[in-house]
Amino acid sequence: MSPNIDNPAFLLQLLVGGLTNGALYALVALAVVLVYKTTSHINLAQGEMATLGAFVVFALTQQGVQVWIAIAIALVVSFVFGAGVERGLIRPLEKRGIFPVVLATLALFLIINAVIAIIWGTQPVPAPEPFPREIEDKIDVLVGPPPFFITYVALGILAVLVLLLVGLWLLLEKTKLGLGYRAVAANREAAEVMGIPVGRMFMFGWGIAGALGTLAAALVAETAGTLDFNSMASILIFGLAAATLGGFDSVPGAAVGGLALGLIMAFVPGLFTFIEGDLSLVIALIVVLVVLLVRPQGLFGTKTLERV
Amino acid sequence: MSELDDERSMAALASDERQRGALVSARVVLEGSRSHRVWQGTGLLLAALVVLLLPVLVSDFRIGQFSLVIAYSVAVLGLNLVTGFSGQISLGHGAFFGIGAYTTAILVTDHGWAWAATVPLAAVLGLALGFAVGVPALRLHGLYLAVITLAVGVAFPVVVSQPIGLALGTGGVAGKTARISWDKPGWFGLDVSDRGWMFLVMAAVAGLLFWLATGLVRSRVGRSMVALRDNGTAAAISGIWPAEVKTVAFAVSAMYGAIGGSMYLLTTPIVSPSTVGFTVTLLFITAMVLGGAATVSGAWIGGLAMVFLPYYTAEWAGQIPFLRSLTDQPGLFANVIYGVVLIVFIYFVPGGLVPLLTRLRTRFLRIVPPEAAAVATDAAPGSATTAGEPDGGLAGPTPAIGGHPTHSPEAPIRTDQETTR
Repeated sequence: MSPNIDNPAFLLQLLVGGLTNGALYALVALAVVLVYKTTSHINLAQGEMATLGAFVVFALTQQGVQVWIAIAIALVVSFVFGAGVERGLIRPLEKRGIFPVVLATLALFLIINAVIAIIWGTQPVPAPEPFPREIEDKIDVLVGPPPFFITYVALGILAVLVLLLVGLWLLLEKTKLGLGYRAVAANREAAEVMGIPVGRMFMFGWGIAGALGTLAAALVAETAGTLDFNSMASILIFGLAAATLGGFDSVPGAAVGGLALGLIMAFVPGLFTFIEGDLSLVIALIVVLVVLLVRPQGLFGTKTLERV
Repeated sequence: MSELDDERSMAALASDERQRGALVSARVVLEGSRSHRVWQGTGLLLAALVVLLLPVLVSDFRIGQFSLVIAYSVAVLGLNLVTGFSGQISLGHGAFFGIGAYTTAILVTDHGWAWAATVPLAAVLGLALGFAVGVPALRLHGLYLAVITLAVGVAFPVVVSQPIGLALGTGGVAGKTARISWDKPGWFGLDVSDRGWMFLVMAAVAGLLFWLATGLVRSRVGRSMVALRDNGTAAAISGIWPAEVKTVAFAVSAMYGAIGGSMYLLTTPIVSPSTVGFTVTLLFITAMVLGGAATVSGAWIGGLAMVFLPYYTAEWAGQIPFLRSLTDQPGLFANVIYGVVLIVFIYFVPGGLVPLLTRLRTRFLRIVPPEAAAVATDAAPGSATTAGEPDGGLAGPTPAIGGHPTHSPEAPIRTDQETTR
């Protein structure tokens, strides 16, 4: 056990750090879930598409565009790209089952990953900074020693997650578009019979997921300080783990799963100091295994019943 | 099936051939017959001759490349077994490959083992890890399995560079070097270099492994794998125990991956986290689809593609000034091409190249299983290496109980006494 176990500042630091990382995982998990809910597919290229979006932000800021405007443009571009991928690459494979679609997203993974490296190089580039991240950009809570403070970046990321969740809730629950999306998620055939454009709802889900991923990648880059072509490789695993934990078809589940995973991954190495090095991927793997073996539908997911 | 039926079916086949008179009429050979054996023997002999002559005729550099082809082919074969034949998505094959490579590297460099002595241990470790991954696979299918194996595949290269990996001697991010030198023994008559001798040994090992894999997919376990893939429920009703078959498939697949990794070290004296990263897994998957997921011989084509596609792409990209100006790593263009090839194959050639080549061969030589001769029509009969769906279910969802309507030529359940080659 850590010797700092009774130190409130240390524990609070772990808590905030865990929640901040968890919010990022939650964003990726939301993207995964929004794709899965309607199409029952997992987009394994989600992370690479997100990295591409973050590089679009980077390229725009290099041209002198204000960072939030650059993010807005990148979100629109990612939405269109995500929807386009669904329509052009995934839809024709829809009828052939899960495996060809998984392969197609893997192909997309390879292509996007290599294209990013070709265009922007394999060396990390400085990340765009939507939130101020100087050393004094923080709120001091406990003066200490040891001090406890919350950085603006952490606050900003948590605020983005909350705003996004509210926005998604409004979009899905209060608009006609959201109603159509939920109808397709609940029962594809019935929705089709009712005249809901099922295909457009698939594209909508993929588009929103693409935009969410881009936002996540931009924020991941900011917390890491740099952006490179492999930035999202492990974050995708964390996002998938978060989605598994929360339930693959549950939007609130993705958020809760992401935050919970963030906390687990902050507190386990923080308290059990005999764990050396960065084994966060292993922890994520264990979380996934435990969830799938104990409660395969996740915390908030719908249990699927199969008639055999 | 009675004699009479056989004769009738042969007559039907013959008339079928006459109707397609414009084509070169194909020779029809009954599977397992004497002439079939002769054809096969000739083919094997030719292949052996090519392998033997290769180190005599081509340069050491080329031999290095062909050795790499062998190592990759063995690893791809493992993926074929678990994904193509038993229909389970495995996105962690790079980790299995890495287990083998690291085991060999550490044992050779730190403990002074001979290469050949490390291979069995690498195989056993691969079996154990594959079994460990296969156990959760029992309760999970489809996408959940993808998530688990993906996590294994992404976590492995990270773990080897962590303190826990360093303690085992993985050498961290820089990788682990292992210099394995081979001397041609005096009794070997052919005029080959030491590297050529190594290539021949690798070819012999790989030949054995491919032969074993062929036996496996034709065995009771192999046919159970295919049955579970095509219709799990029906297979279970027919008395197949899914738990056993699925874990065996995963374990054997991982074992092939690990042996492939061990062999890889013979061709390349270093293994690092980037050689066993997720990209390698993706290349394995592409190679599998390219050659033919549900074939054994497709793994060769996959291995060839894994070596020569990046090589020639880099050469080609280096010649075009515009492409050369884009990046200093021409290998990246190969990854783009891999991705494009994968998409093209999923869309247009879901069965892979081997079934395509088999169909081409049937224009000249048709091999018909005796029990299928009655129903063999225009459809290409099963090749020597294809069992069940030629594409491992890539082309579509599994049929309901009752089977594929177009699938009758191979529908009859073969018995254990079926002749193996």
